[in-house]
Amino acid sequence: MRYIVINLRNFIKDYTGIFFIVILCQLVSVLLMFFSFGVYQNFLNETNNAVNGSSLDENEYEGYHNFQVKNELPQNAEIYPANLSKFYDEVIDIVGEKIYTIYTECKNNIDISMEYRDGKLLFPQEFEYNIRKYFKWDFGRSFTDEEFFNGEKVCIAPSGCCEEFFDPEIHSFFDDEKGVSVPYDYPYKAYQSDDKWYVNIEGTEYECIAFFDAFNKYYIPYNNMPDKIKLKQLPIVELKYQLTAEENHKMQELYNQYFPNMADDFYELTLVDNEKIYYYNTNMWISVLIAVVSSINLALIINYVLARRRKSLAIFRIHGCSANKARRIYVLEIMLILNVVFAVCLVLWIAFLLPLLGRIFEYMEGAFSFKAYVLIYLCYILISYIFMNVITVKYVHNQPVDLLQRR
Amino acid sequence: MILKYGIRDFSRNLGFNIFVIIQITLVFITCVFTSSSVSQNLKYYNAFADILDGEGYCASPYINKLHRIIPSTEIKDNKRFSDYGDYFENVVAVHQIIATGENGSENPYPQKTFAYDGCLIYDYKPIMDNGEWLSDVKSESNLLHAVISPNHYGLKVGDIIKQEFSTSQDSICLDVKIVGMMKDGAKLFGATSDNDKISTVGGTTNKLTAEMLFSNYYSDIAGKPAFVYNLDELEQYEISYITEQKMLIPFRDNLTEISQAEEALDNFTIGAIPFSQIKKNTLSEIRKQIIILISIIVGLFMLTIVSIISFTAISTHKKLKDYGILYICGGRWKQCAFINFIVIAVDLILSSFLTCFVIQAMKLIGLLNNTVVMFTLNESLICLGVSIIIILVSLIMPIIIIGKTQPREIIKSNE
Repeated sequence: MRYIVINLRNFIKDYTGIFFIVILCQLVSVLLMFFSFGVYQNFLNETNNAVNGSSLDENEYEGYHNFQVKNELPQNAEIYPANLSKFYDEVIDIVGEKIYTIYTECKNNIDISMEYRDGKLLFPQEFEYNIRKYFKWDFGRSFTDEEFFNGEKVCIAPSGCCEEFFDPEIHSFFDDEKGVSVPYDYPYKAYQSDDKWYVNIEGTEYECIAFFDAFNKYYIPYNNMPDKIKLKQLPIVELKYQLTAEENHKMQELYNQYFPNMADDFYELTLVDNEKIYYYNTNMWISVLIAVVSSINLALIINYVLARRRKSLAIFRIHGCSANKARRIYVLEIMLILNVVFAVCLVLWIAFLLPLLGRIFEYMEGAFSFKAYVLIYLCYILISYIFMNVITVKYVHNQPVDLLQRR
Repeated sequence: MILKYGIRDFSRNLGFNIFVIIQITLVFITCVFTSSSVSQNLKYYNAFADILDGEGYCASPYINKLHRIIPSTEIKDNKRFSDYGDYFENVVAVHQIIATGENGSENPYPQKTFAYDGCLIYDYKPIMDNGEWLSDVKSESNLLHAVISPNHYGLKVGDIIKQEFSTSQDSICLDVKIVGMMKDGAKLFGATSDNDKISTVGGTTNKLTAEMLFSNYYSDIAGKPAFVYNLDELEQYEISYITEQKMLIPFRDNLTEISQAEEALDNFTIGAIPFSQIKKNTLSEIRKQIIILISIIVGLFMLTIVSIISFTAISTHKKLKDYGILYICGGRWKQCAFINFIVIAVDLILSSFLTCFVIQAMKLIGLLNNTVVMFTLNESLICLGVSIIIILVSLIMPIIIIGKTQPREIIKSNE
């Protein structure tokens, strides 16, 4: 330790100008490392926001929200529920978090309505609440997540299909031809067995866990649907965020794969602006390059400082200092300078620069947690330590005569 | 002689100079990236900078009772304009042409056509994937040039296809050469079929910017690729075109009857937004982005200066003893500084070549695919500017370091 302090003192005394330049370069390099890390994190967040797309909140965004086919489904189209289940899984794989709801209308008033929650397609949570608030909930409860996801044989049915809740005044329509109100003909009528209500949908018995009075629809879980169910229209995917061009392309391909010759015309969506993403990527590259140049600058300076010590190193070696000890002396000397410079830069950064730059870069302040500082410090010290050891080994293993003769 | 010493000095300190070359190369590359970033921000405003400085309006053409967009010939011949005198000039608009296969058969390359002229060709360039933009190609006889978007027809840059176009008299069959391909999602003026952005946003006039006049064009969404033509080339063959959607309508310079001109606009356009508003909104957006880039530029500048000072100072210090010996042999400090300058000049030349090579290599590998980086005259000028700074510092630094030191002191020093 004594020799380290003596070396440093002599360096400052004999080469003040060079020492000043070394410290200045190190200060600037370290500060720029902080800066480039902050810029990188800022634009990474901007890119993630751009890739996820703008929120499609109806109040803010004017444009089409749904991924939907324009084509009318042919009358004789047969789409099998087994495929539909796989189709939904692939939709999740492609657009996942951007899904708001998926809605598929089937024939005979069957609806498959889902929202994306917790990484799965589940029955809309607010369904029962909304029906109770705006319409009429006559009996029972909505699906539990387990029932819906596991495809259990339960359904929510319209009140009109159950004789207990049937009201001819409500559950009828006016026939223009006959000139009278005609009771609505429900395709599947509910029947009671063992104090429970059931309905037979295309040969499969479903327990009616609820009856509601709003629109004459039967809701069933999409997993495990009866084979004979036919779709009335292709699934509509309502989105929360804009899609990227790639996601849009994959979705179109998916529709074409599962519904060949039925999906070649889609409603136009406004996609994520690729140019913004390219711009943010460019800025991230800039921050990386700044960090790399700073590192090379530091390496150049460290290399030079070590090169200046070859004479004193030679003298140490002549007086019996082992190569390993000499290496440790020089590495520790540089590490001492680096640590002091890092500490000064840290104070300058936190006290002055970060608050100033935080006003310009939206996400920069949030990027600098305690963990981030520790990570930066460890990377900085580790890389410097490895580099210094590599350089020092080059010098210490030379013969003292070679070190003295070299210019 | 000094040149010889300089080159010899370069080869004697090859390791150090390689380090310096890498450092300068990286500084150049960072400058290219930063310049590209700044250009991207200013791109949309620059396309219309001259126009937005004057009086005029951005508006959509009026769809008449037959729901027919007013044919361009009316605007071209100033028929409607002539009713009110010559109030307008150099209208900026997107035009559409009809392209079919030979002899009027179905087009084997269904396309959405865009025909531009003026500033939309010469002052704006969409992000290109490869090839050239229309402003960079020279007109050839019996050949139209087109820039296309990614397509599933297998068309690529250099391909020539036959297309038939309607003219004022009949039709004409011409070769169309694909000179460039845009990136998917590149922005084009008037790209979207819905006028929502301008008419809706125009309803809240405090939001429209120059960038909003452009929309991303995705071949998948549109169902067909975009084919962009130069209107000047089309007019040579009297090919008919229709003027669509949004237009920038500048008033003639020194126009005094502004209110009459505005009344004329009311008669055949909707959703008119004044240029002054667009310019204000645009500059406000640009300012926000430029402040961000300025901080990056300041950081880059500091890094450049510190790098230059450090390697120049280190380089000089390393050779101090050599300079002392050269002085004794008849050289002077200025000549020694010039030797240092030659070494740096060689470093700069090699760095320039390495920069070009690295950027081309990055392009080929595809590392620059998702960026806005381009290497044009602007970027070259900035690198030249940085080189001049490096040269100046390399000339001054040795003189500062050597100062009034005597060569005897330098040679006698322990280091």
